[in-house]
Amino acid sequence: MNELQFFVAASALFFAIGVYGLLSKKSAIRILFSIEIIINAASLNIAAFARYSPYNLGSAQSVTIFIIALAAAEAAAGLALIIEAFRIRGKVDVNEMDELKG
Amino acid sequence: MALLALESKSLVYGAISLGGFFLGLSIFFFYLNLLYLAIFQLLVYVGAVSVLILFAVMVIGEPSKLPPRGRLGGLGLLGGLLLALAEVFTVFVLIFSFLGLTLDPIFQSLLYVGPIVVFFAFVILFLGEPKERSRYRFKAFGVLGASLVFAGFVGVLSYLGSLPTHSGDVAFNIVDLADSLLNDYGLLIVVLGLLLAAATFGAVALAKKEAEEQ
Repeated sequence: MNELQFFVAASALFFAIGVYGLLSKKSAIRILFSIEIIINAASLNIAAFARYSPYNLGSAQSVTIFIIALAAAEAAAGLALIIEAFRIRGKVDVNEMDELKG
Repeated sequence: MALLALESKSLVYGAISLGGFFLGLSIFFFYLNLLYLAIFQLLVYVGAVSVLILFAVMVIGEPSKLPPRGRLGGLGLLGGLLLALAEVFTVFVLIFSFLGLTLDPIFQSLLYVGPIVVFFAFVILFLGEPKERSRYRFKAFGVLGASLVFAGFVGVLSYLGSLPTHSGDVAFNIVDLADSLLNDYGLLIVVLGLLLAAATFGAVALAKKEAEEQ
């Protein structure tokens, strides 16, 4: 098992943990945590493949930086939404956010 | 660390361990010789996002009443023990493989972890007490989904074993990065700036609206 495989395995593990959290947690904040973990797994994956590919590292780093910036924007917007929902409802349990249910 | 972020009882500890996860990832980036990326990760995630999350957790506060810690039935305890064993085993396999003591560890972990986790999930799902079942159903679905995803990745990874890798030392070269950022992705950077601005405005607007109503 070479190092690339180690990093890809770690990335897969993080992704799986994120999926687990996404499926099993009820608190919206925990779900946001899971999304962050998944995004980080993806960026680790890209970085690892870039490092062990014969091309230069510039392009992959740019892409990963875009991912990080997007994730930061998403975290800001998501947290604002969660705080708003908390103000309206007093709690952040996603199972009870069912007003849009038809 | 990531598991801790999701499973810790207190949201604050969860947020802090999420920060630890980000820190560990930036250490990975350092190891991968991607210096700029590691620093960027430190700045954005460990610096900004973690603080943001901690702040939001502070605003929301702890859930007023933690769910009562019901007594784990024997079944739940057994399942939890199996899961913990599987996790410890996975971590050990990863560490061993990192140190170079390989026994084709990916297949080993698939062989051992997969069935144990799936067994655990099904036991909890179908045989648990009715009262427990409702509490564990989400968790069981989560474990199932995660193990399926992980197994899929492992399957892909096993094909990857024959991928030629370029393991020579790639010198960190910031000129490459600058070149690709400015020449190849210049337009994307502008779009990204617009997106960040939009997200910031949106967040501020959401927060501001409430302040005006009060």
